[in-house]
Amino acid sequence: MKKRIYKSMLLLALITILLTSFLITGFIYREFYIQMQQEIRNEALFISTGYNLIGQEVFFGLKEQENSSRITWVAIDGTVLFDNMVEAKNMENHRNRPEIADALNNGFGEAVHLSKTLGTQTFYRAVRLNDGTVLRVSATTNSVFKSVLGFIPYVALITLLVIMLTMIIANLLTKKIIFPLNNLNLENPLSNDVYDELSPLLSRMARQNEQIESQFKRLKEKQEEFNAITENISEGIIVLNNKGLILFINKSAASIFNVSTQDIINKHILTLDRSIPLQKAIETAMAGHLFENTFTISEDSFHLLVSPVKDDMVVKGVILFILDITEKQSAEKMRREFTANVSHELKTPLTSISGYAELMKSGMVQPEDIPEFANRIYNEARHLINLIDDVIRISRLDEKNIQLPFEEIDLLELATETVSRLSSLAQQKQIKLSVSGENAIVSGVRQILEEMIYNLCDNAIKYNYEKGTVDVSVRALSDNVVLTVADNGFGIPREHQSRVFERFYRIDKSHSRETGGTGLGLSIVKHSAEFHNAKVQLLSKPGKGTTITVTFRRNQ
Amino acid sequence: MRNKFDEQLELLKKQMIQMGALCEGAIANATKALIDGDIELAEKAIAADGNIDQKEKEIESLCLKLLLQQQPVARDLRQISSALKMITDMERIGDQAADISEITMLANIKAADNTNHIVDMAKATIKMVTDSIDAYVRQDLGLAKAVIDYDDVVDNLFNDVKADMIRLINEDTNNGEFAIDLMMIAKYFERIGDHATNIAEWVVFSITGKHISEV
Repeated sequence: MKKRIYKSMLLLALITILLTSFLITGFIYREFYIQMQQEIRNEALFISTGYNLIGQEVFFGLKEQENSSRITWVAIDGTVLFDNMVEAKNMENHRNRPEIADALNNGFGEAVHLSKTLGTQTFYRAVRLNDGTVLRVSATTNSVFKSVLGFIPYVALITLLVIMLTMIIANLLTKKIIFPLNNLNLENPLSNDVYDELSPLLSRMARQNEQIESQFKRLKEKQEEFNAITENISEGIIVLNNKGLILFINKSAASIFNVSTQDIINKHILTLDRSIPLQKAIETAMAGHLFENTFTISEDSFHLLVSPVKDDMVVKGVILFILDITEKQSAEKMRREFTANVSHELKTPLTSISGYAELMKSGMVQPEDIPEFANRIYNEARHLINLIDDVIRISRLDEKNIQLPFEEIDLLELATETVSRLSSLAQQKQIKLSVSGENAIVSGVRQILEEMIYNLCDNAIKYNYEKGTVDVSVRALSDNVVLTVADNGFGIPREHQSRVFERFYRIDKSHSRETGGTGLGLSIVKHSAEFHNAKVQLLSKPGKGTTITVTFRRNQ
Repeated sequence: MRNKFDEQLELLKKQMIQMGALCEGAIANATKALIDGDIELAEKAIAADGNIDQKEKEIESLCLKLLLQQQPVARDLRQISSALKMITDMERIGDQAADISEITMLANIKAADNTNHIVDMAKATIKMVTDSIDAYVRQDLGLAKAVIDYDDVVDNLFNDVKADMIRLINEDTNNGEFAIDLMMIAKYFERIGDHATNIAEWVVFSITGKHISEV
């Protein structure tokens, strides 16, 4: 911009200088020409008048006068009679000179002679005197070219000055023009008060600004919508472009790979995870095929679905869906183990029953032994029924959506009731069974809580020495209600303590069979407590006894 | 022109990560085969060596092409030259994982779980390889230095394994063959640790432009 302004200004200045000089030169030259001619005419008039009055004496006064015009007196035949600069007799005949010839014929004659070599021009004026002779006056001046040559250095100086001045002015001007442009308020273009010429541009900018703003807003809203949907779902979603760069990753996916969303955007998927199964999955998807598999990241299992995004049969990108199936898998594993255990547990008594029955059928049992065999069959059948009852209970607790009414239950009352049902069992081992504490109301399902207390007390009696004690206590604290079942029985060795709540887990299988347990008691306790959002705590020392505490939250 | 160069550099990085992943897979399989006595995994680790060698050649030719055609300077040059050095170490890791698997297949490895130190050593080595490649992927100077320091852990474990083997032979001279096999495996793990250290050193060089001893 500066350069352009400078250039046009300079061009203008130079043209002005050139034209002005040219015109002035021409004008002055013309004036000068006319003036010169006039002067010579006057001089010729004066001298000729002088001659006509006083005769040839008039020339003597003019002889060898410096700074005067050249005066020549020529006879009718062209011979030079007098010249104030040169000796007259040395001069050639002037009859053929145009001005003299004119004067001889018409009374006066004029001529201008240009000498290119000397760069001068000479003006001539010839007048016929009264006696027929001719007077010629001539003056020599510098020619127009020489005059022009004389003032070229001044013009050059002025041009230089103009160039410099133009540069400075162009600089200042550009700055002055640009300054308001640089300080335009582009956010709000119409508020600017600058050149009128800019107003169409500014109004167009204002319109575009509005458009951009509204589009940006719409985009942002859409983005937010999309984010709200994707960020809050538990499945991981990653979107890749066809070069494998991560375009989008949601919170779940980032937490699965243990990175922050910001760090990983626009990086290659390999920087996120370079495991070979994942690489293969993405390769398959990039080739345009759906890929589905499970894979593991640091011991957690995930189901991976990699789907290509196609446009016109060309793969434009890939979307990865990652589902955390760790829980599902462990639940599945538990279910498989449970089924195996249940079958095993069911088979054992059934084998005995079928064995005894077979013996009796084949008549190999003495009649007096039959009551004993029947008793065994009965016991095994009882055990089987208990077991199936327990399995039904635990399955129901597993369902977690039991449609049983919650009610306000006094835990102390319920404990007293339950314990009384066990008193006969306790008496067999001469165990002292006691309930203590205060009335405490919890909200729960009566049947489930009863089973829980029954199982806890049943265990405390079964795994106890003869003449042992079992204490059931209920305490109402400010936030919690605590039910404690303490015995001074066998206790649970430390290494088994974390596992006794598992289904069918037994410290000593042979021993359990004797006591008639199903291996599901504590598991039912745990599930019942969980059903009521209560916590179960186990404290035990082998040989000293076991204390199990169930803590209910009061605001339940 | 530059664009293409950047693209090729990205490709180089991608291939380096892939080669790293192959090495990790090989050593993980070799270790699992050793601990569980799984012959199938051992075969997989041996097969992976071929893939790793193939990848090394690919990366090598890519690096040479980049050097010749683009004449990179400064950071780009460092990245390419350190990649050239790193693939040598990665290739050796692949070889040694295959060697471990070969011994696993031939030797009687049932007693491997008796010697906890070799398991610890395998785990420590895997950690070093994974971390050194992670350091490259994330250009993480701190992690690279941590890998270099971690080499001492592997070296100490190697001494522990050695002590275990001496005890094993003292207990029963029939353990000799088994002990020597295990000793060789331990030595391979120790070498893998050294290669991982080298990789980490090249990561440091490619980031800082200085060798670790000058940093």
